[in-house]
Amino acid sequence: MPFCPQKYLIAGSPQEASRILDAEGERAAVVGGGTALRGFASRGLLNHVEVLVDLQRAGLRYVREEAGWVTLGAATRLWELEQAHSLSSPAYRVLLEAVRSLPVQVRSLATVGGSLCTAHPSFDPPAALAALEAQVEIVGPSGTRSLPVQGFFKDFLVTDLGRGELVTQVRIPKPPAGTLSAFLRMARNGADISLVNAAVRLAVGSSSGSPCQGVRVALGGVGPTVVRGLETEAALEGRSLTKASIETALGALDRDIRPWDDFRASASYRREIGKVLVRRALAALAAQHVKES
Amino acid sequence: MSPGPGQETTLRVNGVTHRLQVRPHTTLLQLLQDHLGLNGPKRGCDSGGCGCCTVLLDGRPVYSCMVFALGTEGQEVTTVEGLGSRDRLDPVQEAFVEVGAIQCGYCTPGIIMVAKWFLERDRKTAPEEPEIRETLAGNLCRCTGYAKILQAVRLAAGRLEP
Repeated sequence: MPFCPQKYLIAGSPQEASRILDAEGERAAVVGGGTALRGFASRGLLNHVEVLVDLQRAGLRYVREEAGWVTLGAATRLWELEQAHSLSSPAYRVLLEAVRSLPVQVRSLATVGGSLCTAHPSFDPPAALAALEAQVEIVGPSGTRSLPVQGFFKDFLVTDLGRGELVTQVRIPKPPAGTLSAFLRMARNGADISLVNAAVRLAVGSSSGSPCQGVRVALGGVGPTVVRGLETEAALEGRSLTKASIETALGALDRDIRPWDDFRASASYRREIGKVLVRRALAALAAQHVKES
Repeated sequence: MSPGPGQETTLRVNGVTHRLQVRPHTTLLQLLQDHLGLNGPKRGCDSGGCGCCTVLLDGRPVYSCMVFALGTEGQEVTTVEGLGSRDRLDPVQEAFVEVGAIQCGYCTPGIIMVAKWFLERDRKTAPEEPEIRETLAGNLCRCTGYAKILQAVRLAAGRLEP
């Protein structure tokens, strides 16, 4: 019997979960929604796990609005984000569209924390959270720490979490007024994970031809971790959104991404589709801006 | 390693409360099939990609193959067996039979659970096809080509009581 955990523990608090994780090390695995975990288990990747730690009753399920931030508890189910009043403005559409691209059965179970901690570059919510410059808060044996989503992903399926640490919440800084955002993905079918996805956020002034500010571009599926397109952002910052400026930005995108070949898609396909998705997202934002101004 | 010892959990399935001893690795699908003898939810990919294990958990569609049974303490599960009865099918089941949306039947219970949730949530009597397709994106069918399935959902929607 390959996947044989010996204990299923329901943590009553993040501190309790941290104590168990510290004590058990590699023998323990965290259950948020269990979707990624069960997927790995059925593929024989978790045969060493002896203790499961469920976070659903650890007080980590909330969406809160605080001065300057929207804070998401790590155990918040993705479907709950769709209902959150604090995430209803166009600035957060990138996150809601990322969530809505997933099958309803996944949205019912998968959690914000789990989506991040699996650290699969093709997952959808992490790209959106990267474009929103989210901060990940972590609790562990040495206390609490916080780092940007970008710094949290170290490598394919590898996060910055140390022994005994878990993600407790994700904080999204409130974007500047007038921020618009969009999310697009390319997948083989509706049930599969994305081949490539693109999350874009920017603020445009009210008159037509106004320059963009606060441009943030993140892509999944074009490298071992979610990629922030820093050169792409720099190419657009302070410029108005035109066909020409978008094409210049896509040239910069080539330098930002590092796609690889795998059984789902080749590197060259991922590169090409990455550009298409960013182009479409920017065009959609340009059209949205014209409509709303 | 041999399977971990059973732990107790209590959950309601189709309106009936069950207190069961379940091993840590057991999924909700295994609990429903092996402990409760419910074969409506099916085992397909067993990894959350095909949807034929779909049940409602606290009213929401989930892949029961991806839920740990010991994580469902105090929750409500509805399987296709909990909709209608042999003598009186649920309107969604009725619509599937009427238009011929069932071939091998393996995907059918999972799709019916999602359709049921979708129709009850919004109560739209004429949902658009793209919306139905998107809602059913997490359920695969190898037999029908989906046309009859979409027709059945539209038929069931049209029969919703206002």
